[in-house]
Amino acid sequence: MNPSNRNRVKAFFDWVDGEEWCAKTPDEVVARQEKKPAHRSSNDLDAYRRFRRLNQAVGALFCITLAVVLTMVVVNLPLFGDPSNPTNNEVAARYIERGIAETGSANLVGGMILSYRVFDTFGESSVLFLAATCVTILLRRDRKNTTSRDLRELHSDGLADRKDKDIVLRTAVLLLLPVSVMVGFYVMLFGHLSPGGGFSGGSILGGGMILYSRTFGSDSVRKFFNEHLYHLVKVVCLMCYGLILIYYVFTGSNGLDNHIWLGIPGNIISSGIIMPINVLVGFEVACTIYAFYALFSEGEM
Amino acid sequence: MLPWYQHIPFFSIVLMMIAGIFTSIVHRGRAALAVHLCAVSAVLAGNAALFANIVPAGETFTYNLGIVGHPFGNELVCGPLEVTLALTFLTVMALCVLGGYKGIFEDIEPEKQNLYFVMCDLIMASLLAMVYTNDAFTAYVFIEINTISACALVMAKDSGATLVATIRYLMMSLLGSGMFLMGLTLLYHITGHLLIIDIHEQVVHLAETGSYLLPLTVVMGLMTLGLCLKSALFPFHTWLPDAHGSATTSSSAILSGLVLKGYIVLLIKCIFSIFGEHIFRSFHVGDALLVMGVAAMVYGSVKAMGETHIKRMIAYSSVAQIGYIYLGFGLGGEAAAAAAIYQILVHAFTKPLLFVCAGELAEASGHRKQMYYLRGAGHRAKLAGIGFTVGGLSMIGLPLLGGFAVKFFLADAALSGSWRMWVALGALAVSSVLNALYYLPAIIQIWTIREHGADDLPQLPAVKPGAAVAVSIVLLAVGGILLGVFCTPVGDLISTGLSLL
Repeated sequence: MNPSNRNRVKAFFDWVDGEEWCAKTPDEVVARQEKKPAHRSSNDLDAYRRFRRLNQAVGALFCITLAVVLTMVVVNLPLFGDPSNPTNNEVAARYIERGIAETGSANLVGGMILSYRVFDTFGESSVLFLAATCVTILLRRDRKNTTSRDLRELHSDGLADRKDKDIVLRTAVLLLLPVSVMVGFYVMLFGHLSPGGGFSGGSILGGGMILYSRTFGSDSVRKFFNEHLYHLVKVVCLMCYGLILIYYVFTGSNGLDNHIWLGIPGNIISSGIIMPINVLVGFEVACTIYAFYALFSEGEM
Repeated sequence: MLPWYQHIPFFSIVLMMIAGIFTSIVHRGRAALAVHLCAVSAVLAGNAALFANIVPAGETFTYNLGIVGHPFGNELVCGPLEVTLALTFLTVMALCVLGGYKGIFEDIEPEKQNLYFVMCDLIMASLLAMVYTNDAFTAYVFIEINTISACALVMAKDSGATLVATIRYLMMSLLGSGMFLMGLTLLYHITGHLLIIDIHEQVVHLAETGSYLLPLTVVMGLMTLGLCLKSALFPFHTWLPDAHGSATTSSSAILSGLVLKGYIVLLIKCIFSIFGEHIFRSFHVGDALLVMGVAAMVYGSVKAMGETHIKRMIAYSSVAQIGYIYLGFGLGGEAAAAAAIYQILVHAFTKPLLFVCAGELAEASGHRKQMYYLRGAGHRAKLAGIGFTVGGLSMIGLPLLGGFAVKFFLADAALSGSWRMWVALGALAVSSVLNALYYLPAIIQIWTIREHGADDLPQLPAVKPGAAVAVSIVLLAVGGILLGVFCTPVGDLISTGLSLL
């Protein structure tokens, strides 16, 4: 065996034994990697630019191909509104013909998502809860993401106790606020009668709270809505929704009568579980929307 | 009235979700951990009872979620395969959290620790829903829940590296969700149903009559591609090493062991229940999966060989191991698919074992994860060293360990004589050697007493593992070994479950 071969064999055994990891400390490895750019010649830089251009070109090509393919697919889909479409089957027919009688909801879409497909919708409501929790993990002030300088800056911004001097803004908001709260409640409470429901009503309510906080400072919102209340409302609403879901599915799957009074479709008190769920979801969404705003702007409620 | 055990899948999912919602107002991290473990144990007990009731009889049932029956509302489905997967996922979830609990309480700010367990609860709920759902749109809703909470698991350890990794992961993962959703929308347009059984009927009808063939092809491509992206199949794995390598120990274990598997379970439903294997293969999507799976097996191992950071090394090994699963789907046939599902179970036990042990070994080496510092770490943390050795040997494919059973089943299923046989056998051989080439050096490294670099490192004391970590390591290792020893009965169970799907 000649020396170079023996060296190679030894190097292989060393590597299997983990000697290579021990030959250099991680600091040396890092130092060597960091040195590399200094030695980079203009050739390397050109190569990198070429690579980027190629990368962009391939990306553009991929997007164009995808766009063409998807357009072709859409052209080949069943025509919109054609009565012989696959989507016009017994499922859609049942929803339209017996939806009102079975759910008590004059708003067919609301009746469908909160009665026939209530399990999915519970998942969707949890997605919002989940998103708010993630934002809290990321943005709520703690030792790691806040320095004392940040706190000082926040304080000098005066976002917390902002009393906007602008009389036009204050008057306009005072006029708008009751309207937006009322519309929010209306959309929420009439979700089973007209387009709307918990999600949209809750967003309008939350929007009203953001408007108030922006104009009169977040301290004035804290007087009636603090973090404690936020957690309470969020958890109570979702838990009640969960309990309604359990009762509804348990009786439904057993084929039992669930004794939920459907009322006369079109009346405000009607539609069984749909109106309560709309209200619960509405409060949860309103809280969450305001929480997003508060966490993004100040990092606390 | 339904038999009592048929309610268990629904109550499992809802109980985990309610536990998650409730945990958000439990302010102490340790109390949140207790709530999580209680909920998982309760659901585990329920699913064990379900297993005992339906598996001997080979029963499979659907569960209607609403006032009117099929096909107007959401539905769950449960058979031997579903309940086996659910039991595995629940066990591994509890063990992952136990194994990394020290890391959770060290890495995460005290006032945010409870939120970490909210994410664990919701991930568990979404995994159960993906396993049990019989409705393609419910599957999508829970994909969303899974995506967001998985990102939060990476993000929870609030450092620069994890934030960058989270953004990458979020982008790739959302792209995957978007593709799945687009595919699902198009599929609804051409079939008019969301329940998997009814979609399948319509797809068979479409394939027979030959109508809407282009949309059907694109739908298959989009849904498969989306799930491949989310389960980190090569070449869509670029987000995985950063996300799994930089997160806290529990997160790495959960992400590698469970989250990736949830999407693969959905892919199984797509292939076998929505499209039907015959139609899926006739569109050649399986061959594409075979090629990408083989590439992943080789590429992941080669990249792992070049890593000096133990957690990144294990993360690259996940890329290779996911390749094995896709190899099974690519080969086609029930036997190969059963082997792929076997790999899901084995990897669900082995990879968390490796991550938990790597976390312990790093702790015994002064919280440093470079291989350089891990020399002799096995002597300082004996149990973790043994666990890492068992896990590594299982990945290489030593007989009597889980990894061997998978390789054996895959090779057995590949013996069909077509060109796929040579590709699969070659890939299995090459990949086994490559696995040995990075796991063996790592095992030798942790069991060798330090001779080099003795001057710049202080002598480190031995670390005794906490009771929870010890339980986690022992049970995960035992799970892997049991899967290796009792491969015939478990394999039969999976085959039965697959035929009932």
